[in-house]
Amino acid sequence: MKVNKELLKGSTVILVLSLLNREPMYGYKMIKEIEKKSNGVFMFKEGTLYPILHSLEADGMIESYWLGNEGSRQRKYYRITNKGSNCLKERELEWVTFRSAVDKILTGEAYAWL
Amino acid sequence: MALTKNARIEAYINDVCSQIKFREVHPEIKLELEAHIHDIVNDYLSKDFSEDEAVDKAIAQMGQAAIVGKQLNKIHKAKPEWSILSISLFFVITGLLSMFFIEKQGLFTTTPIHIFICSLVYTIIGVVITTVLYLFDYRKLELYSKQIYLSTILILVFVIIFGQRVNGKPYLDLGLISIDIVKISPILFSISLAGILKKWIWNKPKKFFQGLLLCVIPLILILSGGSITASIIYTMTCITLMIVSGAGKRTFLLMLGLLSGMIIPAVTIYPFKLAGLIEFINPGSQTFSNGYINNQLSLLINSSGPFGQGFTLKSNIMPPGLHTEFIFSYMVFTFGWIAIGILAALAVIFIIRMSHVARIAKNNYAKMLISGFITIFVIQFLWNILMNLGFAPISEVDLPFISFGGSQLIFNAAMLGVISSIYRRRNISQTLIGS
Repeated sequence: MKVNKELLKGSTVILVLSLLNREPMYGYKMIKEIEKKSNGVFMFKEGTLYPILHSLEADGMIESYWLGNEGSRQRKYYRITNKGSNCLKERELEWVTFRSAVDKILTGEAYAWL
Repeated sequence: MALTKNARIEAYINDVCSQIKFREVHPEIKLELEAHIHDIVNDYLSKDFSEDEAVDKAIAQMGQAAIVGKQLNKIHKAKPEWSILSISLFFVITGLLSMFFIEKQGLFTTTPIHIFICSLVYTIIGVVITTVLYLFDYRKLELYSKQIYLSTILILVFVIIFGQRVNGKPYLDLGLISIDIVKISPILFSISLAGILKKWIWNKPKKFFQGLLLCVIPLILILSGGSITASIIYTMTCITLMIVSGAGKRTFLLMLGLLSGMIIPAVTIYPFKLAGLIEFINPGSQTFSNGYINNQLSLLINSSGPFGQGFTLKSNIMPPGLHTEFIFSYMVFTFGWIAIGILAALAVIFIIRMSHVARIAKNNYAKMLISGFITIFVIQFLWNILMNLGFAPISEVDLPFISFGGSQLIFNAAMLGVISSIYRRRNISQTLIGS
């Protein structure tokens, strides 16, 4: 099933941060991980990941470094910073509050229909 | 790897980059996107798709080049480090105002130049230089490290032998202007040594002595140029660069010993400097004019209050150099302690912001460059303020951006420009390689 684009937009930042909170990764690996963990629910144009990564880096949430020899394949890895992991904690809390509120309303409606 | 270069992949990446106006980030973005697309392609190739199909699918998966490019362009738009720039501008304006009032109060009568108009001209030159260097990719400087080092050495040798000496110090006479080359040489050596010492291998004996020689030669020349101040600034900068370049504790302690071992005998060669030092240690012995200056300065500073005395300074209590080295005392007297406290706080913020740029810059050369500059700024601010307050020996150290003087303002503006250039390119880690 495909999810609404707007819904996806709001959650990419928290997704990226929580992925990087586990281990440093490069862009392609992040896409693969998101795809795998979400059973293909989160599918987006892969190029649009980079504006997100670059703006998170500009905000100091994550930082990048290159690995690999010059000449052969070089990959740009990203890792989370302290500022980023603090932001993640806030966003997680926000998300839990939001989700439970939505859940309550949705399940309330479900009961009403019964 | 099945494919190394593919025309369609290149075209896609070029389409993305064509949207990004800041060209210096193109190489790293190209490399990053290339790696990603190749990963997708390899994935499909391993699932038995033909190369053509794989590339098609990969590019489709990446999304529209124009959209990705536009979003990236927005992120990589220029955002100058406004806090550093505005604090410097504030300093410059404070200096200009002081020049204006010093002239208006009739305190500057010794030579027939208009210090306010001159300062205004220097300021305009300084703003132009900062802007040009901000736009200029500082990484290009690294390619010329050796040339900058050698030419500074040659100019110093030339000036020491043939230069016109004013107060024992040789000047580089360029017709229209004469530059106090000895005074500004620490900046030039800082720039060049940042590039040369960046990856220096200090723990190999041969390299160690070469490094030592590279650091000591400029010091000998600066000392022959007759400036103890510049040699101390140079030594501190050198040591900072050594620490940042990863020289161990032992190495730089040896260097510190060696360099100070050279400065101390030099102080004794110049008797008037020694006299200044003795007076500083023992203020009662007024053998030379510095004791007089110290007295005048403390008179000025002690008669100020929290809000200053306004424009009431009389020329009979004015020490020489009120518009240059001792502008701080003039400002304390005129504007008061509160205003000066704000000024000092801004100087601290200025240094902290620069350290921040050094921390976030990815490129190692950038870190070296800024570390050298920070050292130069810190010594200038600290020494000037402390000597005005009577806590440091009287020397020719200016208050950066505020004291009167073309060399001072223009070269501090140049350092500011390079720092801004680094901030603009802070996320670029690649080093430029000379062709």
